Amino acid sequence: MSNEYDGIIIGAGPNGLTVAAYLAKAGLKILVLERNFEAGGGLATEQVTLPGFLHNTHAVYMPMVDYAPPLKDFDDYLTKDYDLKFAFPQPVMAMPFADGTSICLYEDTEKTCKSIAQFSQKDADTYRHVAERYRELTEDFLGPATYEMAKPAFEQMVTLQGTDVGREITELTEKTPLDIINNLFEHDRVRLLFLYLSCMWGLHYDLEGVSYLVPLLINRAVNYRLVVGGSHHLAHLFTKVLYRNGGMIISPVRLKRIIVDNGSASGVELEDGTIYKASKFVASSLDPYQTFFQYVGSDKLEDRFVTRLNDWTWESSSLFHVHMALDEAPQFNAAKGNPDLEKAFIYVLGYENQDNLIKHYDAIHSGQLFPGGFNCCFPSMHDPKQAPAGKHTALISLHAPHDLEPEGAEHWYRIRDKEASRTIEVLRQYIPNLTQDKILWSYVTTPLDIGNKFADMVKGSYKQGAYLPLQMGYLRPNEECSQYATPIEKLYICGASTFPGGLITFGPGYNAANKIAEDLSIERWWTEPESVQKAKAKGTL
Amino acid sequence: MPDKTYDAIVVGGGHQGTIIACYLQHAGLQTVVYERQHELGGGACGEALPLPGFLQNPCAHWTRFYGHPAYQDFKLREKGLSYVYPEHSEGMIYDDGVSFMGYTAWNVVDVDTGRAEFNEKNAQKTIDQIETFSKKDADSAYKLLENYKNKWRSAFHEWRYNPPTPWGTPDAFERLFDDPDSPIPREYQFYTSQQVAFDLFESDYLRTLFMRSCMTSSGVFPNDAIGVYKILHTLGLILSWEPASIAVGGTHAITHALQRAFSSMGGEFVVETPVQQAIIENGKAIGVRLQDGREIAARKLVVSDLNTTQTVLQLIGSDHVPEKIAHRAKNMLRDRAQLFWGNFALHELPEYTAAKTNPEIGMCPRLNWGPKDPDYFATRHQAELFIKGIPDKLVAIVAPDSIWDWTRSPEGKHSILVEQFTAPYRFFSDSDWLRMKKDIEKVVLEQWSWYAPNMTKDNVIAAHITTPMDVKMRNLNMPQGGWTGEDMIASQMGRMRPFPELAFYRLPIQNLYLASASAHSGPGIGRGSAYNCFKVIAEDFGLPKIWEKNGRAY
Repeated sequence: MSNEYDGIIIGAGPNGLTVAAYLAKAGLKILVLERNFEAGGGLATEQVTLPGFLHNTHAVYMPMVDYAPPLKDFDDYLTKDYDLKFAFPQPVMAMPFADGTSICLYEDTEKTCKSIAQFSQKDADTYRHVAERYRELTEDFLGPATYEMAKPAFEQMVTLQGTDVGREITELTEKTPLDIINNLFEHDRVRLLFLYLSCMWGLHYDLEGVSYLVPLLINRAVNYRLVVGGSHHLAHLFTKVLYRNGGMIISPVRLKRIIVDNGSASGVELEDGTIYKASKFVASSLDPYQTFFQYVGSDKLEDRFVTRLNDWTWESSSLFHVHMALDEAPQFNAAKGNPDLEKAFIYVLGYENQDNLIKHYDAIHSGQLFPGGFNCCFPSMHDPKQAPAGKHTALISLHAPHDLEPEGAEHWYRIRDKEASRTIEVLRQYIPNLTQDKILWSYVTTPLDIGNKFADMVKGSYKQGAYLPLQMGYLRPNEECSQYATPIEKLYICGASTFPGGLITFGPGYNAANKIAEDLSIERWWTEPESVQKAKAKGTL
Repeated sequence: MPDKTYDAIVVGGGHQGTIIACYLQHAGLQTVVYERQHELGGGACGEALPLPGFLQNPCAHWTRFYGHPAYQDFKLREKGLSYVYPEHSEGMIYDDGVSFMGYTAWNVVDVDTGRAEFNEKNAQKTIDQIETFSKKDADSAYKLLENYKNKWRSAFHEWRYNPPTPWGTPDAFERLFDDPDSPIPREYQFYTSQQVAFDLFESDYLRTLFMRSCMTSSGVFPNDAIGVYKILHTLGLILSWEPASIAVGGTHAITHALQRAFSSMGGEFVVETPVQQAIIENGKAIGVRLQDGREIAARKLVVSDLNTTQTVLQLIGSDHVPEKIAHRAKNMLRDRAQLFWGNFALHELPEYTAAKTNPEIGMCPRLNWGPKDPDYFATRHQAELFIKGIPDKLVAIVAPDSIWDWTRSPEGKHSILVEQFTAPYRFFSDSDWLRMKKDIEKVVLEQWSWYAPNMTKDNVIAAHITTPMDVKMRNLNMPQGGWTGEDMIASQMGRMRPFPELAFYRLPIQNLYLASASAHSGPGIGRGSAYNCFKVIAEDFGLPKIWEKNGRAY
């Protein structure tokens, strides 16, 4: 009896929890199954250096706080009953250089322009225009489109062609990020920063077809926020919303199969033989390989669909992290000329020119380590809860390949400490007080570790699969299941391998919840997001 | 006007706090738990250490929560708490090459209820192993087993899951002092660990193991009087009476299961929210003030899951209690149970030389290694801990949990816990502890390789060892970094825990109770303090007596 549910969701990451919370509040009896011992997926916060230091061991920068519908729909719980808060440090982004200069990006465009003008007045003027225009593109289409079903290519094209905003997005899509940035800006350092921002989540600098993400990412660059209490606190509050609505989470469990009878999903079986039945749906937030090959079985799939699934491509760029517990606050060299620098949220450093960045990306795509730069942050500077009084947390986040050539991924086990030392050495050039005795302890996570820790991030693919033209929009993960339903009846997918993709957007989960609610004819207790309504009224969406 | 009102407030969401929260909510009281840390569980915690994909228990490790009444009362297996019960149990490899390994005598036969049955064959195998080095000790082990089977086992559980009896009323053990079938020697109430070890066994092998095991399970030194409870507990370990059970997902899985049970009954828990103090009016607790200034009212009661000192001096405040109680609360002993403790992530399992004669020794879930030298362990080892932090010869215990629990490491890799005793936190500076945190890795590896030659640097992916400094940073109720919070010496146990004036869960303030490990039956996962505290609360408030249902024993 107790093993019977209306809906079962595989994976308690942000998307799985979103589906669960919406449908549980709609009255369904929901079970979420999670492989890790802690719910939250990438929303992980752990005391992995010294206790009292909270390290956000995966997602830190929250990109869509101002848009994500779940944060509004569950606001009564999250901020009224509970204590969800976001810090929004200014400047949001900073790029210090070895010569003591720096560029800072603020929510306030004029402040940003002033910072850019140190290097180029023309680029500052361009940014003024670009910031405004990309805000429009985001407000009118890119933001709301995240929380609406992807449309088939032709239909999407027709809609986009109907408006100025749409036409501009179409034009941008067909360019490469490098072309867009270098056409906009003239100064190499400005180009460097904006190319980094455009590609910091794994977009290839020289790839055409997905550059509609560039205006979104440039707009988001001044919108990233930090969860007060640590990223995991956001997941933690969603689990409480779920429990309040009668839902249940079971972890750690190993899935054996999704039970499919006569082409219809009816539950799941665990490795230990436990069976949970789902009368209405099963939703998987895993990647298509695991969902369909490992847990459904190709014998239950049409050959054509199997062939299409085999096209799925993992990401070539993953992440290498160093978390540190610091004895004192960092003091930047470059702060001498720019006191704001020490208040910044996200630092990008270790690159002096765009060519250096491009070489780094090229090296990653051929499986090579490269002495490149990275982004870093000091969360406890903005949220004192994340470290003991007077002490601080630090994070270095470096792009790196999962498979190292020629040694293979296991080579990370041998070089992890050495690579961590190299990145700390780079950071020390900008922060001279980061001496060895001030680093109380450190914790390293490699691309190999990401795959080991998160079941859905195969080969370190933290977005569950590459951002390629044939894996985005209506084609993510493929045309047969980008609307969250799958060729298997009652089986849905809802993870980062579905539209709109990875990062903490809650988009896949939100859209999947809408789709399931529609298919089950559930009366929605929530309403269409205001941003979506506005975009539709303007005809852009 | 309070900001919120509940029937019951639990201050501290540690292990015992999460247990009593379930019982209170189940009894119909709308209950809230306030926890300072970002996760519930206190010592029942877990972290992805030493690197992602691996799992470490940074505080409590060996648990048998399937034996706690809450496991059945709240159907925790259905809430995701599952145990693995290996056939192999406690063992030790000595520096002369001799090894010993026990086999579980009480096998769990029903994973849903945790019900165990005696396994004659396994019990005999353990005795056969002892016989290889001492016929006399094998005979002693047999006699002890018979006593345990007859009356000691049920007395042990009765003692643990009931409030202490008042002075003059014999408790479950005291009733057996004159028992003709299974007598407990009366003098054992006052014997030190070393005395018991030498009294019961003739071989240096079992004497060393008894003292070592007593120290790991109770945190007490060989020259401490340990009380009957700890004697039986230690014998249950070294003679493998009870299984070395392994919680899938680590110790924090217990917390998750309790929290799910609590939440699904409608309980509310709030993390990252420290309590400042209890609000007391006319000698009654009526709520708590949070550190953020909010006031939360309690219609019925407030329960403390803090240690004695915190409860009396911070939560209540010395103004509200008799001077003697404040004085005693200041003077709790907490100089024991300090450990180096942590996991090695390995490419391959250790290959022990002793496996030549004892082929399954590497499968031992609680494997000790160190010198066969009870005198060293009882004297110089302890002195070296206090003077140097790291002794010359480690007397370690290792737990290769990844053999049984898939959550502990990525497929094909392994994770092994190592434990070695050390000094109280205040003996060294923070920078000394940070240095020792690194040094101990090297020392462990070097000495481990004496017993398992493949334990070289090449076999180690990473290691992370917690020190008393880590423990006290994580758990404010363990200020000297010892996991017991307050020592489990005989004079701080039973009806004297934490001291006689506070030993029965009721505090000097009406409607305020002590449920933490500072009360009887003390620290450790699955101990009875919260359960027993609930029994007292149920009496005071006329709540349903769950423990009287269905003819259950306690």
